[in-house]
Amino acid sequence: MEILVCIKQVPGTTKVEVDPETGVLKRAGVDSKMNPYDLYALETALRLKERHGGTVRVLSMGPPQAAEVIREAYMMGADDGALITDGGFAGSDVLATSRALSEGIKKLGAFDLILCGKQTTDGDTAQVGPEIAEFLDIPHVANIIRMVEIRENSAVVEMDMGSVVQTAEVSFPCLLTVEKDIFQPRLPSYRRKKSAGEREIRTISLKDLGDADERNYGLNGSPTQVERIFPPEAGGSREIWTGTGEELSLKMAEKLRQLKFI
Amino acid sequence: MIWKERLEIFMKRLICHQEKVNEANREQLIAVCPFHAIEYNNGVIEISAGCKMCMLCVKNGPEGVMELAEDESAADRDSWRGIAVYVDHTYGEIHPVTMELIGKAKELADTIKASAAKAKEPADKAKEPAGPTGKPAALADFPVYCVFMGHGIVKKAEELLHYGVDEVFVYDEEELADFRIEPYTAVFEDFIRKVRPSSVLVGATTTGRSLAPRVAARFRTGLTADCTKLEIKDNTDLVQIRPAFGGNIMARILCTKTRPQMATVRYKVMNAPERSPERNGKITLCDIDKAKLTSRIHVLKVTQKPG
Repeated sequence: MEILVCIKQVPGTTKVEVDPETGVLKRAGVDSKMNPYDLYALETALRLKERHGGTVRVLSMGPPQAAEVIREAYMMGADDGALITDGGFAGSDVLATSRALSEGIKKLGAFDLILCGKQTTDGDTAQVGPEIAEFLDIPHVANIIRMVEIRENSAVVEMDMGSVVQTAEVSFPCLLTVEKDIFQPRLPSYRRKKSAGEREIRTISLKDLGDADERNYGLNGSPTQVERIFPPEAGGSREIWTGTGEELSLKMAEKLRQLKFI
Repeated sequence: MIWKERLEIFMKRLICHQEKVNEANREQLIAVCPFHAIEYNNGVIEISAGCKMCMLCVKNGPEGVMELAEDESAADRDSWRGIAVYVDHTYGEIHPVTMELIGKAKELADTIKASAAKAKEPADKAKEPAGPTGKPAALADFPVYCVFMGHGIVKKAEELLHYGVDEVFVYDEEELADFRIEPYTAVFEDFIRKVRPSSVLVGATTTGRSLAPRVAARFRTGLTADCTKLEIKDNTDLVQIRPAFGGNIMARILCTKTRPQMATVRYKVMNAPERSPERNGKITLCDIDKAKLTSRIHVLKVTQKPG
């Protein structure tokens, strides 16, 4: 089985800087790590490979230093990895990112299964996975809580739909986004860690893509623009109540309902 | 800025109808391009970055092969009208986030209508005839729509009319009984093409978060996830405000180049309007070509979650 996992480098901390002129996040020079949700996708891929054979490849997009997360994936057991990197991708929103990743996937070859984490911890959108599937014209299922079985030419999965769980069979090729806790991610191996430094990481630039029209990527190819970034309003409002226990508990319940906490 | 706007006007797309390309006309097509931007690779005609959009392939190439598709973009703002709400449901049971979004959509539509009425006043006083470019007059009509897709849902759609929707578009098909991504996206696409809503709001439920990006990518348009605040400008641009980085940063996001503008909103962020005892608005039953409802996903089982 040919499996591809999409991974992303995210800031290691939530204290981030914003370029005041462009409103674009400054990513360079900030401590970074692999998006924690992607670890679950990678673990799922490695387990499937152990059981059913095949290869696990990883793909990321970001500045040159994002190659670090591919190395991290090597330490966990990925067979091969590529990084899409080019100044022309700077400022890409969900659409431009998904387009670039889907073009990168086409470049790497044919896959039975593409796995993504449920979302990233920086953008928090959970949108890139489904958009990649649309660009590749393959089915996708999001929020997978369990891989039930792998059949000849399909996967049986359980999807969380809020009040119900849907068990569905999806034909290959397909894209799945997996929930946190689907499997416990393994720790990087020491032996692999020692060799990961020398292993090759393929880089893909804008001109290597099948659709190399630069208007489709970066800020130009992004229909959404971040007009402004600002700190959230501090929730400094306080209320002090007095009364009997009964009065206060009723008041408290009313207040919580009003604030939609219950 | 002016330069950028000019560029957008010229952002039209060349489409190659591959099925009309054959051995007889392929060479003719490639030769017609003075910039050598038409290439035949792996059995398909591709347009390289060398394309200058001179349109000679459309004019002088084999008939019907190349087509110039108008980019449905910002130049087109006026023809996209109203706000649509996706009716989120599980096997016909409508999720309450739907009512909250209807409430927000009504508020946004009222803002547009109010500003249109205000802009119209001085013109009336001056007794100027309303010209064809009378933008504000056109925007006085800015409805709130719902799109409801599923199976056996026609009766359930009536409930939505108690919340002040202008029109509910219902797609009731056997193939839509289970939530499966391809047929649901196909129906959403059909609805957007027919109705052309300026903005589309989707509840950030597990299904909404899976469906909305698929639809946004199909229209090559913007989608903002988990908005906590929505406002609207007089020119119908939706101002989308959302937290990022675990709530440490708030971002104001606009989608000015493309339509529809799409946003997902979590449950319990907006306020649902009071249910009115009367019904207003209408239900429109829609047909869709069954061929568009095929799926590579088979639902084997649906289990109720405990609790």
